[in-house]
Amino acid sequence: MLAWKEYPRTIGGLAKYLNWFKDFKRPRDLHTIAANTKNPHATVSLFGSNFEQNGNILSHSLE
Amino acid sequence: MGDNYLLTVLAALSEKPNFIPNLFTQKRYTAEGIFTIKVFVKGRPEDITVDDYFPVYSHQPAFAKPTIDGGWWIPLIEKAFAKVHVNYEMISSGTQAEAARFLTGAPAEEFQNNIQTSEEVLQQLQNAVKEDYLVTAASFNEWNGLVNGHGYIVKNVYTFKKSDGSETHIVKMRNPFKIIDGSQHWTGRYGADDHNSWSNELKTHVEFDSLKPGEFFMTIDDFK
Repeated sequence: MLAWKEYPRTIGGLAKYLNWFKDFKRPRDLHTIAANTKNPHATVSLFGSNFEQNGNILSHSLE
Repeated sequence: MGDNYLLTVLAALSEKPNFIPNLFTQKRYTAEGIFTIKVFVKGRPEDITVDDYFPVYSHQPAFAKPTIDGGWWIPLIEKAFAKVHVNYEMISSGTQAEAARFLTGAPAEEFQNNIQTSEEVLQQLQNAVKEDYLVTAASFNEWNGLVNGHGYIVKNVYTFKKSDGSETHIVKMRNPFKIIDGSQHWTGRYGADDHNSWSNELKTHVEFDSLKPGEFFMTIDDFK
C-alpha cells in the first residue's frame, strides 16, 4: 500500500489518486471478485473464522 | 497508511478476551453491512455507525486489510476512527495513547524512554505488566530487524538469575504486522537466531518453545 507522501504529484498521479476514492466496494464484492483468482479471500466475517470456531481473535500478520 | 499506531493498539486489545466483540453492537457480519462501534470521543462514550463500503485499490481495501482469517473488524474500526476524525487522511499519523483512549476510554500515558534509565523503564514495565495494563511500543529506527514506524506489543517482562548471581531482564514482545521480507524480525540479543545467549534454563523460564506468531524477546537495554 502506498503511503500518502508516495503519491505521484503529477496530473496522471492525481487522476489515479482521485480515482481510488471513487471505487468503493463491500467485503462480499471483493470476496466474489477474488474467488477465481490465484489469491482468493477468506470468507467474510466480522471477527474472523477462528473466532467463530474457538472464540479467539487472530491479530497477527496485519496489513 | 500511517495509522499502524491504531492497528497496534487493536492487536493488543484483541488479546483481552471479548474486548473487541464488545466494541460492536452486532455479533455477526450482517447482510446490510451496517455496524455500530462503541468508542470514546474526548472521553465521552459514543456509538459510531459505519457502513461496509471501503475505498479499494487493485481489488484490495486501500487502507487496513481484513485479518488472515477473513475478519473485517479492523477495517470497520479504522473507518469509525476516520469518521470521528473527518476522513482517512486525518488519521494518517497519531499516537498509540490516542488510539487507546479512543478504544478504551481509559487514561493512557507515554513512556519517556529517551530520558529514563533502563532501571526506570524496567520498573514501569514490571508495574504495568503486573497490573495487566495494555503496553505497546513503537520503533523509530530500522535496527536489528525492527521496522521503522512499526508498533509492537509488550507481553511480559522476565527476570532471570544467572549462575554467577547476576540478573538478566528480558522483555517479551509481539510484532502484530505482516513480515514482508525475512529481515523484519528481531536479530539482536535474545533474538531467535541468537543461540549464544540462550540457556535451556532461561528458555524454560520464559516458555520459549510456546512462542506464538510474531513473538520475540529482547533485553531491557535494547528495549529502551
